Amino acid sequence: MSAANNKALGTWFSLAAGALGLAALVLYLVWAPGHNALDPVIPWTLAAGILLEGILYFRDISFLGVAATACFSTAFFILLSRSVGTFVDAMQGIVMFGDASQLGIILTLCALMFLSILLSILSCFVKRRK
Amino acid sequence: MGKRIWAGLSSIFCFFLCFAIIGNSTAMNYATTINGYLGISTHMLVQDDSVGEGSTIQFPSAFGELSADNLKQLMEATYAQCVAEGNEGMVLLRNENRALPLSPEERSVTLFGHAVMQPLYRNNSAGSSAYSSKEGIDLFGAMKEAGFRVNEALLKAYRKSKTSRAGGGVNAQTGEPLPWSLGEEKIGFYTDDLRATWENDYNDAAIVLFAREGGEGIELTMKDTEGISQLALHQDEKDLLRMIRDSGKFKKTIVLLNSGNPMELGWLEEYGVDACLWIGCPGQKGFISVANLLTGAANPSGRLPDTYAANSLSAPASVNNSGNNQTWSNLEEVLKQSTDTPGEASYYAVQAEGIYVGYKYYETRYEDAVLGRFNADSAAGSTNGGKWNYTAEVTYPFGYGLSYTTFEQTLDKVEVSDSAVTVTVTVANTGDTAGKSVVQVYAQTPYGAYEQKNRVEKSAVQLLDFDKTKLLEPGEKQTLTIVCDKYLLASYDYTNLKGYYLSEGDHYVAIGESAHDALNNILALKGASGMVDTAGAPTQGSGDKAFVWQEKQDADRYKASAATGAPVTNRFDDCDLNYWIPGAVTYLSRSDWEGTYPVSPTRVECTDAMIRALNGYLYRKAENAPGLASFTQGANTGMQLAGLYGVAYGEEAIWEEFLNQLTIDELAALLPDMDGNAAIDTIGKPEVKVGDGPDGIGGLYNTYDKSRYKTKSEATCYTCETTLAATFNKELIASRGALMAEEAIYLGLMEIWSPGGNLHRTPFGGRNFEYYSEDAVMNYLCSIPEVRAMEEKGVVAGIKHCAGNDQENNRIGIALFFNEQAFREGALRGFEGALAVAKGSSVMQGFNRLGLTGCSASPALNTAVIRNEWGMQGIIITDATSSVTTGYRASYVDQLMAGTDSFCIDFSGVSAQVVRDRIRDTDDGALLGALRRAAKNNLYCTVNSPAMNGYSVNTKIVSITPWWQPVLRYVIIGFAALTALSLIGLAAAEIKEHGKKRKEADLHVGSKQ
Repeated sequence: MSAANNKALGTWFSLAAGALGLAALVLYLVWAPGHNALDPVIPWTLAAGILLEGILYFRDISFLGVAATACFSTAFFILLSRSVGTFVDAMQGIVMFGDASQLGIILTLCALMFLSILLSILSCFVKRRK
Repeated sequence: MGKRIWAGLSSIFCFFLCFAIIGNSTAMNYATTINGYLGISTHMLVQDDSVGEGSTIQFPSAFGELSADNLKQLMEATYAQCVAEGNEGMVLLRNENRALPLSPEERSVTLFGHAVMQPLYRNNSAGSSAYSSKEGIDLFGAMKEAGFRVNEALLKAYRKSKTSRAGGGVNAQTGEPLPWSLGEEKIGFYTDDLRATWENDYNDAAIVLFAREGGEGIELTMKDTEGISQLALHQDEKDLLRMIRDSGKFKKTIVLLNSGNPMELGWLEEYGVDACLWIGCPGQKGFISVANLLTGAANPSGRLPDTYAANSLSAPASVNNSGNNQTWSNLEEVLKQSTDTPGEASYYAVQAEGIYVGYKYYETRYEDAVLGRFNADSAAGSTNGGKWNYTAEVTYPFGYGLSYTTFEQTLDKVEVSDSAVTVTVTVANTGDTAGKSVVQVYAQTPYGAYEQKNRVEKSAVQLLDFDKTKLLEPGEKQTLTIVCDKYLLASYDYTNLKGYYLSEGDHYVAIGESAHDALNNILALKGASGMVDTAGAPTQGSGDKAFVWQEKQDADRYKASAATGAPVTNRFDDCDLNYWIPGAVTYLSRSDWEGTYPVSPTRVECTDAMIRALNGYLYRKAENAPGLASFTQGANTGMQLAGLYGVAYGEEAIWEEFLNQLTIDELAALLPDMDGNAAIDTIGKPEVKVGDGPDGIGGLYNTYDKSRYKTKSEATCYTCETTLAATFNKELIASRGALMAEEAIYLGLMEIWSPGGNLHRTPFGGRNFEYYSEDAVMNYLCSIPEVRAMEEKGVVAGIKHCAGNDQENNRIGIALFFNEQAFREGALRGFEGALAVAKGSSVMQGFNRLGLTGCSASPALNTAVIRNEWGMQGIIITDATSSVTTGYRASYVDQLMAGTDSFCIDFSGVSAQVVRDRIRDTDDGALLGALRRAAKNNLYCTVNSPAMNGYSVNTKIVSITPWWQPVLRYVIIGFAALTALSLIGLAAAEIKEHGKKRKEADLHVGSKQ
């Protein structure tokens, strides 16, 4: 309890970023293998980001926050890159380059990851300790 | 600045750095697409006269030198072609009391139907969208140009309305299928104010435009939100027609059908429709034809290339195909063991209808019903649940179409030789208007004891060939001589002879105004009675329009391919479901309509053996396969590709020497396609560009080079292929091919993925508009002139999608089961015309599986049939692979070994990487040999195409880096620098803060002391 007492807004942003990253990781691992969409870089970078945000709860090392942003950003952009075909199909209303039926889950993952990045960046700007 | 600011900035720059790095990598994967959209060329040509003597390759344009002025002429010719296609391809289905053409006094009209504001120029798919340019014209514009006064108040109201037709697709947010929308106004839309606009004016005619839309990946639905077929008349449309009829204000009601799919039309009489014109998808200029036909500036001469059934679901093909595909009964187990996505592995269709697609079903059952045999009048397959009755099932038969004049066709003579049936017909215009007449020649071959015993099915009537007269003035006559290929009379016996044969017994040919009319003429010659005409009225038929002769059974004449001499025998036994599960399917047989009509879809389990076949990836290097040492690669002797121009495909020694120059990497680089492929400067191979679309060139390279031609127009969007077929005019079909090839020359294309050769297996096919007909022989006869005309100009014609890709529903991965007679005489025939007869030098495969094997991985299709039987010399390309790395579309090695040469839209070059790695990892010379074959096919097409225009052996290719690539690299460097600087700032701030803290700690310690 006392450990939490000296935490400032930045820590809570970090934790929230980690939590959203975790949600994205779980969702991705549940979804991707069944849809031929598993890119190992995505879960590994998400896991690394979550770990770094976790460490930041205990140790206020600014570089770790930056590294966490980098991890989440990597996962996010790789997911986008891999989903180009799905976006094209969805926009054209066809089934060819990707799997437009999976667009909903891909957008959900993107939203979770993007929020993680946003919170991670915000946590870098504000104090983590009172 | 404080530590927090530096940390925040570092985070932000890190984010952008990731974006730049991964974005750059993605952009490089899509480099061809980006270059295409930006109009960037990746190479330039330099003349180096030191290489040797050689003339410059030139595929000339018929319009003279390539110039802005001549391009204008070409574009005008394409527009005229589009109008001619509409004039001759739109089909007049009903014309009560000569309601059409409208008299010169009838020029004040109201256009009804929301489609007036949302015309279906074409369905969504690859192809030209030039209809949306300023050169495109809609119905309103065409009517105005033709001198009509059009009720603009209603048009404005339609414009303001939020109603919109939606062809389906998926929701961009949820991924769920979009609820399609018919897009017709509710009756409440027509307010009293609007109704007042036609009370005293604009009421010479009510012209109603109804549209039905499908598209690529979008099948028309068999049961929509109203619980009826999309092709049926819907409530809002009924209300509209009732309002028009009940208003009593309009002198005439004319319905225009704007669709590539046949609507169900049993309602025309009920709603007092005076005239009905099927206009197909008119493309960029086809609405001008609509106006021409309404005014009589053109006289309709189009004939239906499809049967218009009263109920589209009554076709036996509708039972298993289209929206009635099945999933395996043990789906969970299949998906557990499958390496494919659920969408790719779940669905199958058993084509239990056999050969009985379209009119072959309706007319054959009709003959048997007339002759009182084979339980033809049983209730099985009957729309109304009672005795099967032709009139209740068919509204307009295949080949049907009216004119503003009348013709008399006389069968003068029929001569039968070993190879041909020559039919001479005299056509007289007996009416009062100039017009063209279509001569349709049909045949009937015996369905005797041998056929019934060996399950060889026969259509009671089969299109054999056709021709069209010139424009005949009233009283004028023309005699046409049509030489029909006797091969089309042969049947494929897949159970006993395992080959084509001519049946023993009476053979008939007949002319007729439709397939039904021709059959009645055959029945008349047989002395039958009880026939009915298209309208259901009793008829005697005309025996003098039919001819009979006898043949003895002949199993030798077509035992070998006419194109290559290769034996023709069973290749697709494993595509018959009974091969895997004996007795699983009973094919429809006219020997017992009641017992064999497929009343419900075939449901089966996917056995373990089937799952193994479904998973594919079966290729293994043979023990006796040669190693890589057996081949020479990378031995560049300076031979340039231009030097192989005109070198025959069979000149093996020259081609081998040339291929020896390429490294394995260079050979593999020819496999991936991205609307073409890259230049190889070491051999003087240019960058290749291709276009896509049977009804007009689409894709990355379909706009003209503005700097050279002063226009950035898109290639023309013609009428849909179904309308083109409906012209029944081979000259017009050929001129479409020739003009598209001319456009390709101006666009610098090697190839156009055109025409479409698939069947309208059901009326619901989402891409039926890109294919000619429900009739395989019609596909065969139409593909020949179109492909030949393209190839004569050097442009590679890539007919698609071979074979069996007759539906859009579940097209990626669906397993199709059929018997070999149905496949050879049906799905394959259109492609056979294009490749074996017209010598097309490319073909695109379908996404579907033949049995359990994907088209691209099928040695039976690609090697045994396309190469060996049909003698195709050129490129066999997959449908879009999208650079997938898993699933059946990613079995690149298997596909290459099966005969595939190129992988469509493989933007990141996965196919090349997989194949070259496998070759090197396994020292597999057989695979390298297949790669050399694929490279040869690619290069053979390239060197003999307009892609080489301006090249000689002295032409050197110099690569150019597109401007955006260094820009992206600078962006990466910029963000990397900013990230590094901010990290340094952060480090400095950390050190400073650490020092400060240490100082404070020291002070704290000091004060304590």
